[in-house]
Amino acid sequence: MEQQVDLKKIEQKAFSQSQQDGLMEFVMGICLLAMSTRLLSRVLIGMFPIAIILFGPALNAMRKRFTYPRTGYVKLIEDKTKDAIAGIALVTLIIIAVLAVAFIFFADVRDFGLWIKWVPLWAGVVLAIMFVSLAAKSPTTRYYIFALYSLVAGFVLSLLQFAEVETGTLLYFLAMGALLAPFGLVLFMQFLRKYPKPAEELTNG
Amino acid sequence: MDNDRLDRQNLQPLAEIDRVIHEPARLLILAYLSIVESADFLFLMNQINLTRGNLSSHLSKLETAGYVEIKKEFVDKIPRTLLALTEKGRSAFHQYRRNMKQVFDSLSD
Repeated sequence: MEQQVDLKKIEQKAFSQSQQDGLMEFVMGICLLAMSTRLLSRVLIGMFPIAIILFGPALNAMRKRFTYPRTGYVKLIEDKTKDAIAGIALVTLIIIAVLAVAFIFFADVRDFGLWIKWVPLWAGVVLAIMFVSLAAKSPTTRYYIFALYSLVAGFVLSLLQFAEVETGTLLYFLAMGALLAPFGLVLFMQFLRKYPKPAEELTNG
Repeated sequence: MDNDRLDRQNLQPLAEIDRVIHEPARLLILAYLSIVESADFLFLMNQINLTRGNLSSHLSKLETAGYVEIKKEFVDKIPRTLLALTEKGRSAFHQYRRNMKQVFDSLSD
C-alpha cells in the first residue's frame, strides 16, 4: 500500500505486467518464421491475413494455459481496431507514394517485381510503428530495439538483389522471427521460473 | 459574512468526498480498474499487494456501493472472479478526483 495513485504509472505498470510473459514476441516470432518458410501460404499476399488471423487466438490460448493461472487475467483497454487499420493504411499509402515517385524518376513504375522487392521496407515500417506504439504504452527498451531492427532489416533487404524477387520479403520474415521467437522464449522461461503455478485453490478469489 | 461564505465554498468539495472511495486500498482498487476493461482477483491481488481476505472485503464494499461488478465464472473448469468498474463506479471515481483536486487547490501554503 505504498504506491501513489498516479494513473499513468498504474497504466504503464499494468501494461508491462501483462507483457512480461514474452508470449507476444514468441508467438509473433513463430508466425514470422512460418511465413518465411511459406508454411502458411505459398503466395506472398496470402501470408499476411493468415498470420494475422492465427496470431490472436494462438496468443490467447497460450496465455490462458500459462499466464493467467500464474499472474492473473487482465483485459486492457485496447486501441480501436479501426484506428490501427487506418494507421496501417495511411503508412502503406505514404510508402506507395514515396516509392511511386522514386520509381517514376529512377526505374519503371509499372514493373510489378520492383514493388514486390520493396515489400520488406513496408513490413519493416509497419512493424516498427507497432513496436513504437507499444513502447509509448510502456517505455521498455526492447520495443525500441525491435523497432530499429525492423526498420534496418526492411530497408537493407529491400536494397539487396536476389534471384527471386520474393526472397527479400521471406528473409525479412526470417530475420524478424529469428529475433523475436528466441527473445520471447527466454522471457517466457524467466516468467515461468519467477511465477511457479500456484495450487488450484489459491488461484482466484 | 463574505468570509463565512468563502469558507463554506472552499469546504464544499471536502464535504462531498466519497468515503467509500477515500479508503486508500479501495482508491487503489478503483484506480486499477479504471485503466483496464476487466481484471481478475489474482491480477488485482498481485498488483495491489493486499491479502486475499483484505481484497475480498474491500471488493464487497465496492460492490455494495455499486462501483464494481463482480462476476464468478469458470474457465476450463477453473473458477475465476472477474472484476470491472461499473459506470456508476467510473463516474464516482472521477468525481472523487475532481473533489480532491479542489480540496488541495483550496489549501493555502
